[in-house]
Amino acid sequence: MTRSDGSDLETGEGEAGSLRGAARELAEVGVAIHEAAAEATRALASATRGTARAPVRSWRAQRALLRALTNRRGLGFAITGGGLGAVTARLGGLLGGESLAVLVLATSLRLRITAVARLHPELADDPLLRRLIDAVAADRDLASLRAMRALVKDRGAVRALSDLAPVFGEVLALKALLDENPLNDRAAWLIATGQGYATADPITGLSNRLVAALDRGRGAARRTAPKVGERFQEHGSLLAFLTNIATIGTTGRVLIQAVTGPDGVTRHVVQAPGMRLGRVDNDSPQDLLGAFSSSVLASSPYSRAVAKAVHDLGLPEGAELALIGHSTGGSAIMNLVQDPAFCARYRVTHAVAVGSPIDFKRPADPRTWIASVTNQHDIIPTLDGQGSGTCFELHPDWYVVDYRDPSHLFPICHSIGRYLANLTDDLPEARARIDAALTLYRGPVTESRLYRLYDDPPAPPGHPFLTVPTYRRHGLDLPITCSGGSSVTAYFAAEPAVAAELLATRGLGPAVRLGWRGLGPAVRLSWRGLGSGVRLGSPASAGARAVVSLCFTDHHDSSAGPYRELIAGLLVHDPWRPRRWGVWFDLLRPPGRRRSGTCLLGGLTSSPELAAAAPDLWGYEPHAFPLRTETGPVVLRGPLGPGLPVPAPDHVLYGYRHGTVLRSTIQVRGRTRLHPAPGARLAVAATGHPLARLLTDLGLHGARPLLCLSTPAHQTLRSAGAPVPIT
Amino acid sequence: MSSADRLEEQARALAACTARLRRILADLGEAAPPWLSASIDAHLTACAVAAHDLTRAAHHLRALDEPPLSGG
Repeated sequence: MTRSDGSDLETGEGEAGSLRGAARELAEVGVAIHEAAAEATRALASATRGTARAPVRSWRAQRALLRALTNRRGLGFAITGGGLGAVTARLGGLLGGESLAVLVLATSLRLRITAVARLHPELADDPLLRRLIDAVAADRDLASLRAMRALVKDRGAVRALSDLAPVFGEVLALKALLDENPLNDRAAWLIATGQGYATADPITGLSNRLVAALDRGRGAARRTAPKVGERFQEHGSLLAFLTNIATIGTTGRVLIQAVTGPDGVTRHVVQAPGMRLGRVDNDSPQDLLGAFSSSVLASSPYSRAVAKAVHDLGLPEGAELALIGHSTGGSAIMNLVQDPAFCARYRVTHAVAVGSPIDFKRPADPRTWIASVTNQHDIIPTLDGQGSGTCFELHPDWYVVDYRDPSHLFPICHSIGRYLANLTDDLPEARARIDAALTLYRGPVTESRLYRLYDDPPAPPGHPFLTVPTYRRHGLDLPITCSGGSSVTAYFAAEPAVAAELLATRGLGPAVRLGWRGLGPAVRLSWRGLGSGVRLGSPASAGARAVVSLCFTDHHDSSAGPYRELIAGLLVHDPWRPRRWGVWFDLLRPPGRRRSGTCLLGGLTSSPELAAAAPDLWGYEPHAFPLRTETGPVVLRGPLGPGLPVPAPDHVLYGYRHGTVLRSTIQVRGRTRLHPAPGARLAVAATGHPLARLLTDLGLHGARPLLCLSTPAHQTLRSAGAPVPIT
Repeated sequence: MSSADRLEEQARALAACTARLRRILADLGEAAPPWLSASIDAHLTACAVAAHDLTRAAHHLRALDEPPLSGG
């Protein structure tokens, strides 16, 4: 392993190298002592089984073993291994009884910190950092806490974390080894011995795998187009690939480029960015949970999603790939590097991880050339427990660049921009070394494909509501689907005689009416605008008001293109079997089973195609009208007032065409509010427009709605009308 | 291999640890931080005590493995 900090672990050059070597040996001694304690614990369990056979000798053996396992001058409190060991070790941990193995490992960690301090004089010279490290090493909890508080108070949490970063893992492990919390002991042991990924948070002991298990998903990738102004590098190189990662940003996307190498062969380079900021868990695997799972687990939604993006390229078996990743992206690509199935299908020739915790990833194909670039003040690469202070040769065959950067404030030093700047200006040798390894990928880019990644395959837009069989009529795809729109429906009390006349000409009736005199004191509504005495009515209520609905809709994303419309209609009873009271319950039924509905009177639409097709499709004649502003023949002005959440209102519409009644439906999905006391009023312009005349005749000019329904964001499904015999 | 044998082997490993700890300190020479000498001394003393404890326990285990005499 090559380190750019001036020391070499193999030869032990320099004081830091010697100290690291000593720390590694001490860790090995600690492991040997632990094994001796485990053997003694097993012998103790074995001796207890001899009690019945030879009670006196068994008791003597047990006493000798117990003494060996609890002698503070020898192994310390060292019962370990097996069920008995686990319980008593935790008990010992709670009581603060340390084992000799733990004390030796603590010395090893202190040596690692000393080694880092030799390379980072600021650590040794900083009185607050020294105070903290000394207090942790001496297992003085209160003093450690005070030292940490003093550090944070003096320079803020971010700066304190940045200053501590080079020895962050060691300080946490030291604290965890010596504290009374038994839950973090395993993580501390793994960090101190370099035997594996820290399985838990070294402070609380919360299992990393438990947190990572929350990140579920099969992983999915969908091709997507670059954003406006987004341009990618056109010639392959390390800096070009990292620049692309910076361009993509943490937006839940990855880039795959085809590059023609100097040998004329086209290969592909996967470029994976880091964690997407925002929610802990979103629909992309590039979230905080994804960062955890990619680092802790061998396979994660992120790596599975990247694999699916690669599969989408349709590359032949054995196609050569280079994988480049930053932060979480580095962990994700390394999960692919250690995936035997992926490496059997493709030949992963190179993997470069920048600022990623990948120390415990194991490549499936030993031929894969791997480089890891980490800033010693970047905490993220140390999250697997091994940072710049590590004394273990975990990957002697990797190219590791672990460097120091004078402007080391975290999280800036973790950003792809900072790594790019360091590789461009400060690490020319490392850059040249990696570029030399990537020679086959240094050529013109022939194709760039962007993929949006998901935890799970995303449902099609509008699924299942808008995914229905379609057919074409009158130049329109039917049913008309709208995946983005808004609407307001206002209900007015209207002149009953005019309403009856209108219905008669359309072969429909009777109208639903309000204010039935014979009802007496039964259900009585006191909606504003009608004064007192408004009652739910029956078809036979002479003189009672009819109900007109005006539905203002803006379909900005529909299968018929963007358009606005206004539909005017009269509420009508079940054409076959009018019911006095049943109508109000019937109006609440799903549209497929509803009989009462709205008789279409007319309307406006900004779509000339819809205006032309409407008579045949739905049995009414809307007028083509721009409907771009609030000026027009019919405008609802004023506030809707407070609203209550209600189910979205589906519509059953009855039209009339050449002697036939056409029944159609508009199904609506979206969050709807009912406004029981709207302050708005209807303004009907005296323009002579047919719709304006109609509404004026119905007495609606200046009228206040009985109630309104508003749906600020809706999806709608509008069917063509079907002829229904009603006589 | 009996429990007593395995324990004796571990006792020998602990004794080897004391030698190894001495060598670690000696190899570091002047590079060793001032606090290390005391720590290593404490560790190797503890290793020696632990090795003795395990040897003694192995002796008792061996006695336990022998055929029982009359009266246990």
